[in-house]
Amino acid sequence: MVKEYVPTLQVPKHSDRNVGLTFKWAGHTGLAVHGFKNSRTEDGQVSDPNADDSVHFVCEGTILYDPEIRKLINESNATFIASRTIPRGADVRKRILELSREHRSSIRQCIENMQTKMKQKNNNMYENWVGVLDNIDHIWHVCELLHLDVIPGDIVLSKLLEWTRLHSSDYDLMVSEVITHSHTRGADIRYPNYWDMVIGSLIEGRFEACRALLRLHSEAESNALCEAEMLLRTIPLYSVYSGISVPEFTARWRGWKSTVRAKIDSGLFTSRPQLLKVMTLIGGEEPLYELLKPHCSTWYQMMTASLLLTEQTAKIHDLSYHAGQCIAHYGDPSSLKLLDHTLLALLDSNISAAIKKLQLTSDGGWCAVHLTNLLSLTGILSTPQGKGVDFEAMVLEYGQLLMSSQSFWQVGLTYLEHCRTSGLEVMRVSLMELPLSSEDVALRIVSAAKDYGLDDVVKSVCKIMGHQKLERENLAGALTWALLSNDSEMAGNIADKFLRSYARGCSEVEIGCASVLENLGQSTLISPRLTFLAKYCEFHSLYENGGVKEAAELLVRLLESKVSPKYFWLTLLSDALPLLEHSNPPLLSHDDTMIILACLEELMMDVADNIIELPPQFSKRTENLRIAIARNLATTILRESAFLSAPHNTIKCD
Amino acid sequence: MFKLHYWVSSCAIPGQLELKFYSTMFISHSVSTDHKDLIHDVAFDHYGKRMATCSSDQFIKVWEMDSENVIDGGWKLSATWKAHSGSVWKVTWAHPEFGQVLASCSFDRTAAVWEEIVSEPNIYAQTGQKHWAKRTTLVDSRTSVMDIKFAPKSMGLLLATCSADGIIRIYEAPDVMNLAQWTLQQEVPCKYQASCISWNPSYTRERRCVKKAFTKIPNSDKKEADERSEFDGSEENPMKFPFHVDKGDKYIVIPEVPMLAVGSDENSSTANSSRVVILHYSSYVRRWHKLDSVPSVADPVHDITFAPRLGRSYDILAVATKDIKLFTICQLIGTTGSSRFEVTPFATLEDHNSTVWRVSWNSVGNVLASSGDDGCVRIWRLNKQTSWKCVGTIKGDGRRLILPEVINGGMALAKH
Amino acid sequence: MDGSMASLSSLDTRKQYNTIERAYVHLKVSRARWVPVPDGQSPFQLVTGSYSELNNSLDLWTCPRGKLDEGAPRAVSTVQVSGDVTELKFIDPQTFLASTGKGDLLLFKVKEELIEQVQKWDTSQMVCDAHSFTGFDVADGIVALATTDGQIVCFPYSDSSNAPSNMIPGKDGVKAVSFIRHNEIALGNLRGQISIWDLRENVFAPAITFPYNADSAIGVTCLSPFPLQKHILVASGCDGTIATWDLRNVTNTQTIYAAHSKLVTDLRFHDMRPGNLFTSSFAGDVWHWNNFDELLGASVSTAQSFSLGTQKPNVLCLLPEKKFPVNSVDVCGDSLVSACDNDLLVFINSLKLK
Repeated sequence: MVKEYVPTLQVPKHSDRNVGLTFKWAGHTGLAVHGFKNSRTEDGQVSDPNADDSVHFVCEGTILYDPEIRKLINESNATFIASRTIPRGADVRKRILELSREHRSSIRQCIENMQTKMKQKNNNMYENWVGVLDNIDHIWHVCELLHLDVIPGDIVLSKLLEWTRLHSSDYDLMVSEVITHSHTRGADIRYPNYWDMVIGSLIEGRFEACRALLRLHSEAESNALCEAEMLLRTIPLYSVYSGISVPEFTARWRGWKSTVRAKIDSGLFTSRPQLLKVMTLIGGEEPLYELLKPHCSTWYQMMTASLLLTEQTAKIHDLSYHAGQCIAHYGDPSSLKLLDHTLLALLDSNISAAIKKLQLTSDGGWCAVHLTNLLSLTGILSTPQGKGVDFEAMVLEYGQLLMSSQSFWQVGLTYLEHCRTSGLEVMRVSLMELPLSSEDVALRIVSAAKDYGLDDVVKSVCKIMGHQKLERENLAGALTWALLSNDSEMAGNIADKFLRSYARGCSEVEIGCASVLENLGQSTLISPRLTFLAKYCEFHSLYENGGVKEAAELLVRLLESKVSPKYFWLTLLSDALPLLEHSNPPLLSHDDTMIILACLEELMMDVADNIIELPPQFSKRTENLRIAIARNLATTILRESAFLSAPHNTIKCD
Repeated sequence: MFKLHYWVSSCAIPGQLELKFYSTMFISHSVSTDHKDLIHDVAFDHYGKRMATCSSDQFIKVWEMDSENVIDGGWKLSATWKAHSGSVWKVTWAHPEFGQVLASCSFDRTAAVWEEIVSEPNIYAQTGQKHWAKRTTLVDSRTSVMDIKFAPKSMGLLLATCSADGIIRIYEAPDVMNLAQWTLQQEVPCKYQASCISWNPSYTRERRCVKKAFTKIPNSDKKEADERSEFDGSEENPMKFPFHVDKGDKYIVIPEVPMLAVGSDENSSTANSSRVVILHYSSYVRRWHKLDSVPSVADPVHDITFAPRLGRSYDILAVATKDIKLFTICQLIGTTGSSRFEVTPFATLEDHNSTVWRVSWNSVGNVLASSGDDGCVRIWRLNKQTSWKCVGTIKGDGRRLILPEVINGGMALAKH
Repeated sequence: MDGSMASLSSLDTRKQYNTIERAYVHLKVSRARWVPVPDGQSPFQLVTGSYSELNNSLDLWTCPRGKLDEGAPRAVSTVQVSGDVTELKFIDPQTFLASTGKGDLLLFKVKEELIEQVQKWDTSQMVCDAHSFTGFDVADGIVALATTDGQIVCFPYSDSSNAPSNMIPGKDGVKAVSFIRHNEIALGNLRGQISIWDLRENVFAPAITFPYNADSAIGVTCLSPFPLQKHILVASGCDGTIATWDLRNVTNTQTIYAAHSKLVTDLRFHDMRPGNLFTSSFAGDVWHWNNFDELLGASVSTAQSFSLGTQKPNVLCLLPEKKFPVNSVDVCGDSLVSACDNDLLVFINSLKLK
């Protein structure tokens, strides 16, 4: 077992000098690394005035901020959501296949856009990416054909042909150009790679094209070429739907092959070595790897070609063997690359191995997640072939990656919602880590958190927004956020702040509390303190708008109910002062005045006992109050006793 | 993050193109802090947008990230002040729900709480001026205060400190709007000089987790358990139920116990008991108690940290000592109502081969980072749910590391 | 308040237009606006403003109708801005204003395939706290600009002297700002308080205040007068509702339409045919109300015979609900453009306007 390589990063300009390195996580995207020393002196101090004073930030490259990749991420997300919402009763397999094609078309589109960009800017900024995506497309396509699609009778040749044709378009363009543009013979003379094109078409199973090329040969009329064309026209092709059984086909196949060999043996093609090569290829019982190799750039192209020419009825579980045969012709197994290993695993129907290889691709898990998603929908992951794939972990990680970005967090949520074990918890953590850069963003986070029932996130976000407002002394704004999350504790704290401003002697114009609380309806009821504040504001507006009588009544009720915080009693009592001084007729009845007096007494006691802080000018203010209370008591006693003593001739004053 | 990556190499003609392998880790930028002595701690706020640094030069500096500013990767010094009259060991941010609040602890035997104040904007200053005001000084310790941490926000505004004389103190601000008033909730003396302290993460939702195999499952829980297993695949996930359970043992795991772990770096040979103390909070008596069943850690402990919870029903504690030790901690309640805590060692990470100074989890707890006397910062990932694998190293000791030419990690031919 | 609640039973979500085209761009778009074209022509250019990006920008896109397969929309001009783009409005076919979350108000000209900054106001001279703007409205050459902390400053945009003509000194967030008439302005906040200010008179107290919802504090997200009858105010709320009032008698004329399921993000009347209203929401849906004038009784209305809520709203769901909020909706001729939070621009052509 070779020791696994661990990537290592060097911190530049960091002198050691007995100073080590330590770190902290910097957000969720990287590490902050700085010098560190732990050798203490006798008294426990640590010092090194010459130490490196820098903090180095270590990050990891991310796929998230490239404009082209971004489109791919969002497009594939739409496909992912569609895949997770396939309506019941729909043909699931068919839909999966459609979605797989959608994904691949996104990949192709992305490659095209990258190529256009590179052309426009005349650079190779996307060269690596185009390579990666090309390979992903390649892998995806074969996976789609072999494992997402239903293969009738497990006969795979047609699928493999479809795959190689799409991905080895070396000669295709040229061939079609030759065929469509040449109306006269002599193509073999005009095109130096004529025979390469013939064989290229042949091994991709494009027999029509192959024959068309032969007909364009300068000596197409010759016997040899006519015979060759005829043979190609009659080549038996196996199809599950043809109604022919495998043994029947094999018999026919053998018969046709022996005809070809008989023609070869007759020396018909001897004078034309190139044509002879073609005929030998199609006439051989066993695969002729050595002949194929110059025409196949990859082992898998060779595998398809050899199956086409010798083993049309190969089934999916035979592929592993054939692949091995072909790989042997392309150097030893250790020279295989990640792409080869992934393809091999797929041909081998070893889904879990293929997925593991895919996860090593440097696309941030993009391909592995989306392809595995489709595979999981087919149910293959619960078969032995897919055992050991932790799909949820993959989705979780990809979701987390997206959640770490202010641009993609909403996209990330659509993945995390499919992770049953820890999706919600990751959402919770990640949502709360999103910077609340504006009110609008906060509203979006709140809305998303509500969708997933994450009430604590809603509450936390609103609390933080509220706190931001408080820091700017914007009490109204803070209250808004307390109301948005029905946070009674915070609403109470804000109400307290308002009340303390009143207690300090600020005027309503300065505080502006009435307009803040105006028209809030039931909402002021979320906190008793806020309710009290609203009532107090109501008192003010009644008083200012001439409803002195109602104002007085309300004030007494507020005092009597003792819902007011103690620090505010003096303010309430002081507000009572002008009301008490209303003497003709008195606004406050004898009982009301007694309530006020009782409150004043209680307040005096509390101040004396140091339960509450001594308010400024306390004695002067209370003295004035006492005088007013005394006067009012005197007036009311007189008036009210007058009513009592003369019950028979009651005169209604009002 | 921190994964191995390969560009999938093109292999049109095998053997011609090399596998392009690379790690995507890179140093994005370095910030020169201008501290006049060793930096002891760097702390990032909840969003990673603000940074506080503290140093032996007795200063705290606060930095702000402005992504539109390209200098120093966007970090801009926003405040610097002399915070203590001795080395400042640690600095830490409170949750933003409590505002912009920092706590620091120092060799000068005090801890302090700082709040950022914005003076009201006026016609002279467009946006309000900010500065950091000291809200309180906690002077109860008679020795150097080694570590300070805010409790998870769900517990309120709480601070825990630990001192060189081994005393743990838990403070509370009963009114979250008034940071000047802190009451000492409890003092817990431990035998040895303390070096580090950590709260276990908070529980946002009560959920009883049940050991499937042994317990009668109430209906509602059963449904949840069934739903969960569906997506996991059939394989039993060992990380979910890692505890040792005797046959026939019927226990329910109760996750919501506040805990504090304290490490000691006492070096004297006379000390022969464990350098890790764990306290748990009993809400009935409102007191912190020591857990008695902690497996012994015989070597000095330099850092200790609980992992974030996510969906787990138990805690994971990482301890930095001569290596990294990982423990699981859970409370089990038997059918008779008796309860006990179980602390189980489940992994030891030895790659540092030397004293480990710091351990820290990422925000979702799937990556652990550590630093040690080998001069390296190492990054660990949970691999296949049970084993931890070092996936990255950051070196600073001037030695040049050579990338291996042949990389064989996971590249062998798949054989079955 | 004696409000009536209209039901939307006639909402037919199955009815959809056929010509929906989608294009992913590479940024989060907060506002997408057509570059206006003369009546009868199809718009072919649009301007977008981004938000929540590392580097935010204003982008001009060319987007000829039906050319989405050929690489349209194509970004032809980009201007970097500081902070989120919070509002974007055209004031004439070549000129638009944009406000940002970092306290910039900018005036741009669209010249062929180029956007060019014409003016940037030194807003710090106008308001105390110019660190962030939530939005603005323009009418008759006057801009009313709202800061995050609730101050409103009004000034003519043709004047570069930085002298505000009017100012409302607030200390409270404003979510929506809209001119009603030349000298009348409506404000709405997230506590659901709507206030109407008469700029000619007292800027220290509003002329009228009333709640969006009398029962509980539902935030106001958008405000607009009905273009044909400026005394009718139309507003949308955080709970997805749309509400109307007759400002001559706000207490008895409120109608609330239970519309979207989540916060309404944009509200836009068709320029030429104001009977058509378009609304978008956090729920990802876009609605076309094609008889809004009838709802308001516009066809028969005089001051005396005004009646609200007698008609059923006729709503077509242009885009169904989905995972991502729609941030803006804009209509020009029979073409609609919407910006969604997953970097998606949606184009709907051949709107059936009434």
